[in-house]
Amino acid sequence: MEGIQAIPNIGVVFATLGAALAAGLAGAGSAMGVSIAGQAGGGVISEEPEKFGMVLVLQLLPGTQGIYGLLIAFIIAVKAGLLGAGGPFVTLEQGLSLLYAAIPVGFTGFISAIYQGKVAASGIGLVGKRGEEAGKAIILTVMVETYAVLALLISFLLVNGVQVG
Amino acid sequence: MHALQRLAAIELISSAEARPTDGTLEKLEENVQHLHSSIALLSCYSEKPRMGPKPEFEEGELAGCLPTSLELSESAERLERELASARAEIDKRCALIESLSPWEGLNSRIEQLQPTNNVRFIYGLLEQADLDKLSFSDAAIEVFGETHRKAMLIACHAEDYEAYLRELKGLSFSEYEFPKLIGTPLENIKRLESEITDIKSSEKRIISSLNDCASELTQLRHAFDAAIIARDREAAKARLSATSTSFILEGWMRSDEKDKVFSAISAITDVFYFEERDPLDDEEPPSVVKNNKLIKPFETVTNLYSRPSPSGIDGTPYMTPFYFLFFGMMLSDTGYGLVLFLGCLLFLKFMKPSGMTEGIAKVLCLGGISTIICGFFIGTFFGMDWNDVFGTPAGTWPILFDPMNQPMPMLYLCFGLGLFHMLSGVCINIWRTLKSRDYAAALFDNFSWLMIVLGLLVFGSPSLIEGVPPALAKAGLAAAALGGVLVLVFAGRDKKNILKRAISGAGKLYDISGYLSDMLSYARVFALALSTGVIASVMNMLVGMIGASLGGTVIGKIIGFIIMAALLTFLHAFSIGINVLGCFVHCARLQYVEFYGRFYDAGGRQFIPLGYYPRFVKVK
Repeated sequence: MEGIQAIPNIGVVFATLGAALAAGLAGAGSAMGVSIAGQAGGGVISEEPEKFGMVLVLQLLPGTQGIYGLLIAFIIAVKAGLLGAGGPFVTLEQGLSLLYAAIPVGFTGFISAIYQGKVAASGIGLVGKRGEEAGKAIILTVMVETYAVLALLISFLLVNGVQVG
Repeated sequence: MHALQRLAAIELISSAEARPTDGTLEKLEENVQHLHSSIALLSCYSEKPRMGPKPEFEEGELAGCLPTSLELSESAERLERELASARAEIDKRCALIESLSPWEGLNSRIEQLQPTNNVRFIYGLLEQADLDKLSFSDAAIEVFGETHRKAMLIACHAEDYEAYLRELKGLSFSEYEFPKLIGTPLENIKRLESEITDIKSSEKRIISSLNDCASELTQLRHAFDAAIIARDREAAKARLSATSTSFILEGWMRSDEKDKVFSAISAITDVFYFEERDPLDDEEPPSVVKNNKLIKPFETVTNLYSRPSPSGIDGTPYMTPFYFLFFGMMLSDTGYGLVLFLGCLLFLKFMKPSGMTEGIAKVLCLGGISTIICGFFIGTFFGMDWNDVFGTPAGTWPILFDPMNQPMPMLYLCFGLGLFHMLSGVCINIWRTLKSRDYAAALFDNFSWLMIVLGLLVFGSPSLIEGVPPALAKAGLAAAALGGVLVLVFAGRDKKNILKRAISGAGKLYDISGYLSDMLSYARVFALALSTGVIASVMNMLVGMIGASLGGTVIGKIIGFIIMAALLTFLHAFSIGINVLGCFVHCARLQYVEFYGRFYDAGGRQFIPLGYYPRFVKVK
């Protein structure tokens, strides 16, 4: 521990890793989820182009995890002083805490976005067959997102709890 | 039938003995199909219809344009067929020209290339490279063409024919058969080319008349709606049981529209018999709900879940205030609320949508108002801190608290409102069960839970709020315990076996975890409120950084300002879109799962009266 602490600004390194994991993992999951839903959407739109609006809404739903990840990454970056003037400084403990705080939103965001994409894809199939039931397809898809929202909340509370400066 | 369709008040029930159809319905259905296909066809030839409200028509006016439009659609379809055949002719001739083109240099007339007794002709195509390998001693060979595959004409003795052909087949030779034409190949190519020009000009003519037809597309669309209305009416007639001079019409109607229906029929004829009755037990009537103007849009949200069952109650009026509040708290940015409110208001005013779109637009419009208000209490203004906007010292605004800096109070507020929301659902169920005289269900399944949850809340309050007397906490615990005992003993009251009853009671008591997780679910209000504000401020910050990097010269400032304005508009528009979508669905979910789960009887069927269901117009 002594050795690690001797490295200058090692806390900042961990904080940066946390921000990168939050935005990177959640964003990667969202990209996969949106892609899964989008592939299903192409099929429906080729048959019925007028359903584009509804399909687009369903395709966008797994995209929110990426935004949640970005949000936590940004808060961590601001907290660790990575963006502002004056240079970054956090201690080793603070940096590690920020890294751990990023895990819920990064990991849950990654997994939930992929699975939400699968539900969205089947929802798009439902819209293709019965356009009037689009609302139910959206609701089913949003059920998955609940856990991404909870992870976002915990990540935020944890980041908020780290006292810096 | 006309009068009833205009009224849109009766949903028909199919009579048991279906009338044999006389072909009218099929004819009308055909009209609909024809118009539909010609509209699809002509849409390729006209620019997209302008955005705007649907035009309004009288039903008679609409039906008036039907005959001419049917002719129009017929001629459009005929033109389309002509166009297709013209294009096929062109393709045929192009293919012919291509196959003839290697022979352009041949001067003989095609019809004269007939074998005689002594001389046979071989024609075909051969690779340039194989040309030198030929060693025909006793034949005249002519070679034509520019490409690497040469066209060649070989004249030889009849007895050599077979041998030569065999030798050629060993090479890259492919035999050619002249089409049955008259004249030299070149003459034929010239003739075909001029024919193509002719067909092309007639093709242009057809396209221009199709364009003319396309300018009548609006009329076709109206006629399509007229055809649908006529078809629906005829389809309804086919469901009646009738004799040659009379018919029986059976259907559902709203109890409050009885007089309207009665007077509509008496205005047409005085020879009729009108009878009404309540639904029988084994019948399943459709569900209709009635709400005032402010609550009506929220029926759309309920319909997305399910219609209420005919014996249940409509949850919309109870859900509306909660939806209004939670939507505002989730979006929680006064600037965004303002944009949403004005946007939806303009959309409603200029586009005059109907049906589900109208309902959602109105819900979002009201949600915008709620957002504007909530923004002052717990939110931001386009992501900016209120104190920066007003120039007040930190901590003055927002009125209640800033969720960014004080997350725990905001979380408690969400949980508190959530508990209130859920317990309201329980209360509604108590009222509902009392009304249907199911006192046991009211007391043991619902009131007991009120006691448990509220009791536990009071019991836990001293740790949160100072100055709560310990006696009150004890009373809360006692109430919760009493409620728990009620559930434990009576939840399985329909079971005779005492052991089974206890087990089922204990299982029910475990539902307390459901209350806990449902309460935690309201954390999404906080999370979404947070994400709106933070994303908006992140965008402001990023754009600010870009602006700062553009330097301080006058030109730099001007360019920077333009770029920043464009970027901010785009980014905030994106953020509004994604956040409004999220708020709408998450808010709806809180109603469906946490609120409706406590009292709502789903499974109703929509009331679809005989009426006008046009696609392109509105019928007055």
